[in-house]
Amino acid sequence: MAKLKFGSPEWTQALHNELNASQAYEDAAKNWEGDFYFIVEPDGAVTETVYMFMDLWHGKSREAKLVQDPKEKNPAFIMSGKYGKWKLVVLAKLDPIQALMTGQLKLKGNMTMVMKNVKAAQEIVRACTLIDTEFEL
Amino acid sequence: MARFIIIHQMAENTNQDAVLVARKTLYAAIPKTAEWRNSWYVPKTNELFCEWEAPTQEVIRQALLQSGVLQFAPIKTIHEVVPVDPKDFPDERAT
Repeated sequence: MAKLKFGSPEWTQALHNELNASQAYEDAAKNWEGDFYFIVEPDGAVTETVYMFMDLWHGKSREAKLVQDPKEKNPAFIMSGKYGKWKLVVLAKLDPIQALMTGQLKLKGNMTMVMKNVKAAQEIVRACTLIDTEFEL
Repeated sequence: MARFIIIHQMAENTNQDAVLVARKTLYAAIPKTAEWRNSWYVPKTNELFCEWEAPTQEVIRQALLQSGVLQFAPIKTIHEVVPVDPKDFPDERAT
């Protein structure tokens, strides 16, 4: 199977599928209610901003897609960072909660709620690592 | 120098900007006689365990007060502790 480009619609759909196939994610995120924008900011040769919307609800991904206009949705959480930082997260080389606490990733929304769900965050990262991903940097 | 473990009860609603600003202010407020060594967050209880080295616990309290950290992470308890390092038991580790 061909590699999927990080931040592409296909990659976003693959993450949606991996999460919905994961019993570990379902268990870890069973109490989670809240949708996200994951914003991938330009970095080096990457010049476009990517807005990835994910509606995560009680251990399932109800919707996942890229949006062109960030005004399209009004999610409870917005997590943003440079492409290079997201690459480290997706490769499980940077813990996303640690990245939030140190400001390497920015968060709008209730940080305590995200921190308390550290296992769910780890399972999302695990799902990311299962996708054969191609990076631009 | 004495060692302390401070347990903070985190607020149920925090925003990252406030946390990052407080952390920066805290670094400026820590006197040279004290050092924030490490922290561990406990998701289940929403507590933050912080290890400090300082002459007295009052020095730490003052730094935390000035930084604004206590607004979202009030102190639950402070324990003066004695560090025990696994490196101090090389023979046991070898067996």
